[in-house]
Amino acid sequence: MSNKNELITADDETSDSDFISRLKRPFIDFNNADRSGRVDILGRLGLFIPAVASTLIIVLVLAFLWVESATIFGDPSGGIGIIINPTWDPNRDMYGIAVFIVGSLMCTGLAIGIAVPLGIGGAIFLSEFCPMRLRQPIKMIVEMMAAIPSIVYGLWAFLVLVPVVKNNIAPIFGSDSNGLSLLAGGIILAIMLLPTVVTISNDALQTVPRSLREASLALGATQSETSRKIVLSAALPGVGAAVVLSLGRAVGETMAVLMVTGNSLQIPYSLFDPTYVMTSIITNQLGYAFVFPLWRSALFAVGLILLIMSICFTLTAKLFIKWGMKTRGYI
Amino acid sequence: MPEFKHQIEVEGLSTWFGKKKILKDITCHFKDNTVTAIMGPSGCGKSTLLRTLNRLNDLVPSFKRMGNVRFRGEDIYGVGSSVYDLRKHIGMVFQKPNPFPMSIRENITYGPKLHGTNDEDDLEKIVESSLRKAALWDEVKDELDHPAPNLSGGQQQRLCIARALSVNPPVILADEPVSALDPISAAKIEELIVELKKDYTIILVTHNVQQAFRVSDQSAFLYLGELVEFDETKRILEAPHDERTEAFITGRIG
Repeated sequence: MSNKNELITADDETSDSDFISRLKRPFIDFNNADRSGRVDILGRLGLFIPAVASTLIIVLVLAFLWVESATIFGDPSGGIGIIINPTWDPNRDMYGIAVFIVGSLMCTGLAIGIAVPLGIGGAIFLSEFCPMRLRQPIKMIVEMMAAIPSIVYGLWAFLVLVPVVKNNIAPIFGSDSNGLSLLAGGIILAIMLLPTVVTISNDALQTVPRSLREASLALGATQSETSRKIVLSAALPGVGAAVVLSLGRAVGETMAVLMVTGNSLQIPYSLFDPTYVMTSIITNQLGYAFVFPLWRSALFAVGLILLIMSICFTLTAKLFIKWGMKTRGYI
Repeated sequence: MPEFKHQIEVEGLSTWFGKKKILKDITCHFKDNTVTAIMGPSGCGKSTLLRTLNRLNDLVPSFKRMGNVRFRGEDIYGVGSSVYDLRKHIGMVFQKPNPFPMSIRENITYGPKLHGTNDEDDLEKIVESSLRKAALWDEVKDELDHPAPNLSGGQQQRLCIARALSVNPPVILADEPVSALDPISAAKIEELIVELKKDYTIILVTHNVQQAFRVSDQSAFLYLGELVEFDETKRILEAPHDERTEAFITGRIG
């Protein structure tokens, strides 16, 4: 036992703050973590491999996408400028992907804009105002919504939502849209995000201790004030996590969006204009593009940008959550 | 406003959770500007009595009640009495420190803001005076914007007292406020309670006879939901009339 302690302190002394030893630190710690038995080595190895694998996968995927899209980024007709070039015409070797980036951002923004307020509202109702007997059944139904395949959402949206947009919503705003639109994509995506937002936010709200609610009520707050100003505020990091997860799903969602957004190569100027999102262009054209190196590479570039966007969203949201935890004294 | 002798008067109060009767026909008057201790073994209904006084039991669906509780002469369970007004006038400190997960300043300004104080200068004054009354100002005045949960347990509890004082309630209910704290922090809070009775009427739930002796003027002894004795603390502890009280004081039941 004492031997082990000595070993660890010895390691501590050698760890200067320079970069290499900071890199080595986790491995030394890992090595020292449990010296009690030789048998454990097997177990530790067995756990080390999945841990490394799961971190390596993202690196490998990024590398693969980079290699595949290198052709278009290196070509004179492509280059990094394709990100801001709105003309996509493979026949003329023009591979501007700005249309898809804008389409994806708008669709995601719209979906988040609808799903987050609705979902948080639903979660607050479930955790604060819902009669006990109703809570479990409602939760179960909402969770079941998450199990519906996205193609089924797409079919429903195509047959129900699109006509509703065409006949009921668009005329109000004086638009003669055929229903296949940014709005339809945003709404169906929002519906698909709702269960994630509701269940995860609800879990976060329910972990807020009852004593905080009582303290607020005892100061003369109404139940509504308590749930908005105390419970929601205390659960904000958890609610943020719900938003992160739904963001990831929103940018990456393919089928349902592809079926209802009209897939038209233009930047939408109104909610009723059709749009083309990044996932849709890959799905639609990969089959034809496979034998044309530039075209194919451009599609992989779309995938790369999509992944980078998604990572950026997640990191930003994580920073926000961390900030939230700090100001609340959780960490 | 009807005439009233004391801020809080309880008359013939019985309460139930579901079918279980918790309090049995309790009648007592809490004198103003004193500390009243409610003593008794665990499960005797001390906390229930306390929470009936600011209607916090209303949150429990199975809660039922008979009898009257009057605050300043008005029945608090009567038709047309506002529970929010009532709770504004009756502050509460809980067993475990429960600061809101926000900054120290926001913890104090939460109550006043709820009740319509929005002027920055006024809020600033309230923050300082509340923290001073709770003997916490000198320790935290430079870190008012730090998160409250980072304070020590004792400081958190004093912050909770300051938070209760922030809306200036004439009555403060304290539900075993020191039982989750270390002895030094506990002693500080006991001192604080004695200090505060000059301006506030304090009702303190405790299962600790010594504590009741140190801080309270009157004591109520509850046993199995019955109010066994209610008198000056000194009298009760020196010469209990009832043998159950004596058994509790000497430690035979508890």
